[in-house]
Amino acid sequence: MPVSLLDTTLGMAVRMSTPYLFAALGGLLAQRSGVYNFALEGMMLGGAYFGYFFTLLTGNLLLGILGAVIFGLLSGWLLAFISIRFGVSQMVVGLGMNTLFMGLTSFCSRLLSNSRDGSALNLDRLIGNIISGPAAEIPVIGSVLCSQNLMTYLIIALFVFYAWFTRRTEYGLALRAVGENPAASQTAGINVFRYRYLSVIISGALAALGGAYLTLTQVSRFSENMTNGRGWIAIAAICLGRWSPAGTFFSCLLFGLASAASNQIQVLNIGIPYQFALMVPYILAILALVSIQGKSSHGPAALGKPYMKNR
Amino acid sequence: MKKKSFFAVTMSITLLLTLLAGCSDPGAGSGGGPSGGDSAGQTGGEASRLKVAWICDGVLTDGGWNTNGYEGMQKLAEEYDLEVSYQENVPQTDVGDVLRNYASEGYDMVLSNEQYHCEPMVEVAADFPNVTFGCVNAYVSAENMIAFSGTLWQHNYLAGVMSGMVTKSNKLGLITFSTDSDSALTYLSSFRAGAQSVNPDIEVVHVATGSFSDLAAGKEMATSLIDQGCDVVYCNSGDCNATVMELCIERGVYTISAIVDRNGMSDEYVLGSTVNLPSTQLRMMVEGKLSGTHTGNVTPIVGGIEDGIEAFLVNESLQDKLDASVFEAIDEATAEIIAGNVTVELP
Repeated sequence: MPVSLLDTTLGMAVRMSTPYLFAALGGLLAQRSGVYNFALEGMMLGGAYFGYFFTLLTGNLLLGILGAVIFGLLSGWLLAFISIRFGVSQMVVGLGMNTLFMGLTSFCSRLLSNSRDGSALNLDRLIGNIISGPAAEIPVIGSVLCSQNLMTYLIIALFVFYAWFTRRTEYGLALRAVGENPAASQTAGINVFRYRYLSVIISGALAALGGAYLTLTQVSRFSENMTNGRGWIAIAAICLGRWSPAGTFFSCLLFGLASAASNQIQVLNIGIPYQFALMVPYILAILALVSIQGKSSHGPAALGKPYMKNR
Repeated sequence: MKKKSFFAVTMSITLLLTLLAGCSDPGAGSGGGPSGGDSAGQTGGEASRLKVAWICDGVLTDGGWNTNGYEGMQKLAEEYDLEVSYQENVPQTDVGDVLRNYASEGYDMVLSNEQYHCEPMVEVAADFPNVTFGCVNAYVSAENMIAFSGTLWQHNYLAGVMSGMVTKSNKLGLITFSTDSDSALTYLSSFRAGAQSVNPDIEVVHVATGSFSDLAAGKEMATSLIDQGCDVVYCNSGDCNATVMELCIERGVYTISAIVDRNGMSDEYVLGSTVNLPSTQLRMMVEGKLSGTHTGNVTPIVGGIEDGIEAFLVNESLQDKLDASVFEAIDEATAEIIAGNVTVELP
């Protein structure tokens, strides 16, 4: 039975934006504290692999999620350790870690496929949609809100929490202060390093969850480089959203919609070359970054600048 | 200073791990080269025993292409009492050296399971005129090299015939990596021609993933096709194939497996598999060499379903679920192709 075009596109847009949302919230948190997380892509890939691997090993999806989170925390710690403790260029560390995790996951995945035959590499079940039945049949609302799984609801809740936390709590205010002016924050008695470490570590866990969403809710297996640039799109979404939670949230939805549109353009066969259809999200990302140039609202003032206590 | 050395160590580990991905642990049945090779036969056989080397890109346990070639070689080794050395995971950069090693170690035949090995093989073959080389699905060849390749359309045509017989919406979906490469267009035109030969009203919607590994995107692509009314979806885009097939089975629409026989995935929704079997080509190479009738061809020999180089394997468990006319149409089309009465416009 054909489903209406609008339902397909919107439901798909939400599914495709969920990984962006996880990675973008992680990136946003780290950037708020003043540290760039350029390793989002690699951390997503690692989360996708380890979430899948631990589920395959234990047969338990929750343990898989836990595995992805632990990987994310460790990778976040590594990034924090190198970029905060040693003040190494955040760009270089981030790029290095992307390469590291790309190699690591490909290596592990080949080891795994060497040790089992093809049919034993699939997960038996995935995290399914919570709401089913008549509610999921309602036009638009059904496909956008009801035909989603727990992880999508989780990330929406996390965005709301983040917005509340950074605007309404003392700790949130301190976090923003650390990203704006670490020296002044230090004078005011805020432990700059603790805030930055924690932000970057949690950032890793969020990015890893974004990757795990792909293997544990969508496709039941791992493929080398399966994140296909989603971490970079997430970074673009943060800039386009001008570092605000609502802005970032809707930017991610926009990129998700663009990804869904790139599919539908092809299926409807409206004469646009497929290369262009596939480029849509990336073109949008570039346009987004160009469009915010020169606008007043920039990111945190101390973003990307390593802070050394005794300088 | 401390900072710098820590950084250097981290970067070195990164590089090392990246390199490791390219040369992961070889599994059972592989050798480290001709010297450390794993010979599948007793040592010290009589002088007339043919020494054959077989290499592949990737692992022996992929459950598809390489496994088929490997098992084919094992069967040949037993049947003709060959001494065979196997080597897996031979990357593109090492092919020349690996082939050269085997040739200079006294192997009579050096075979590869990987089509992209054919170019370095032609170069090496020129230096070893007494050795017979062979490459599966090759697109270039040499005087002392045996090369076969498939038609790339005959099995797809048959898949199209079957899809055309079972579709109710008259809308079929085809997913490939791109939609304008020669191979993608060959897939499209043969699949469509087959379907339209039994039902002229059929429309084939052809879409591209742009990635062999973005499984989630491939799955969404198939979702779009199914939502728009396609009731057969055929995907040939690397790792996405199995994911797309799973979705089709879940959504209750027909699907076809490309490259690998995955008929076992469902006894209801998998129509069949379009395969191109390396074992058939390897057998023709070894038998040609043994009988002395075929030791090389300068241009690759193209073969199709008649030679067994390609096949459309119908899912046997559908025999009693579908109308007999479906299978009659496939048999008829097979006979027509073999008789040379079918032509497909290729790019």
